[in-house]
Amino acid sequence: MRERRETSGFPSPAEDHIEETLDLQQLLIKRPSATFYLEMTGNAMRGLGIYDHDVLVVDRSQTPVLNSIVVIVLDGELLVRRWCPQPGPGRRLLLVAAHSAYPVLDVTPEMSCEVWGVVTAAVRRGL
Amino acid sequence: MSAAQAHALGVEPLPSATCYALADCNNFYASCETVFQPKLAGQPVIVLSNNDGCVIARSQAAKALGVTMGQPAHELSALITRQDIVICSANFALYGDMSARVMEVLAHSAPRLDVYSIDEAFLDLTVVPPSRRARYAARLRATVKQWTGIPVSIGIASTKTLAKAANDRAKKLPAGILSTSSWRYARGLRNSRENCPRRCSHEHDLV
Repeated sequence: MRERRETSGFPSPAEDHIEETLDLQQLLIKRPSATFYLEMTGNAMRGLGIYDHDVLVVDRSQTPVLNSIVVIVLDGELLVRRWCPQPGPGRRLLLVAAHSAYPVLDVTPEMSCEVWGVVTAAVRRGL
Repeated sequence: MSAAQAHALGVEPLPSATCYALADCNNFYASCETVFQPKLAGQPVIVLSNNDGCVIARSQAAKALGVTMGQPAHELSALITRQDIVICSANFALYGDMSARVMEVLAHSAPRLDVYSIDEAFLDLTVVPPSRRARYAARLRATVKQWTGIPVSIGIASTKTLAKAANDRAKKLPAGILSTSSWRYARGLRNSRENCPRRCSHEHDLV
């Protein structure tokens, strides 16, 4: 609650109803110390509504579940894909784009692949 | 055998009243850069001071090439070209932000936190039962790594000074954690100049 400001004229009728300003950070970020903003490059996730230059809100404290949108480190490069571990003994992992031009990546155990974080929101500027 | 006898023989440490852990980020500035440029992982990376004057942080691979702390950048130009060393100009806004995140994660799970520098903090583990301290530290280390991407090493001992010395050794272990009894460790320190705590402050990635 804001501190009451003294006015020389008529006091604001809204004085008792002032709340905090809406804050996007509060809305989009659950764990600030583990959340980072990354800028999307390319159209690999277009089908899920993530476009080139969108700002991704990435929470590193979350563990991905099937179909999470994740930021992946694959052979040193950052990638945004859907996280699709396959059931069965092979423990295969598929990284699926949301654009027909991008092939499904079949991650073999020899590849260096690590989850960087889970995308929890995307912000589009300049609409 | 009584506890005191066991202690005298060096078999058992005396139960200590206090317990501190020093959590220290590995190659902090270089690690911060690597979080956002994962291809730098395993590469020789150096971070240079303002105006790219001298070396203020080195990745493990850069240390192995013999780059020393505080070394002027111009002395290194031949080595940089020959070994493909990656140079980062200091980005203190980034390091400050990453430091705040690491400290927040530590503060979150530690009963008492004493921030000692941009990349290290003492945790008071006295209330954590001795048998659980190593596991507690391992979990803390994993959480910091996952949430912030920064690798930390943790030294645990009965005083802050010994925790600092234990941390220096923890850095060389794959698990990144060393818990030590003060008595046995103090003897180790006396026996070897290499283990002198003053030395670890020189080894630090800070100027």
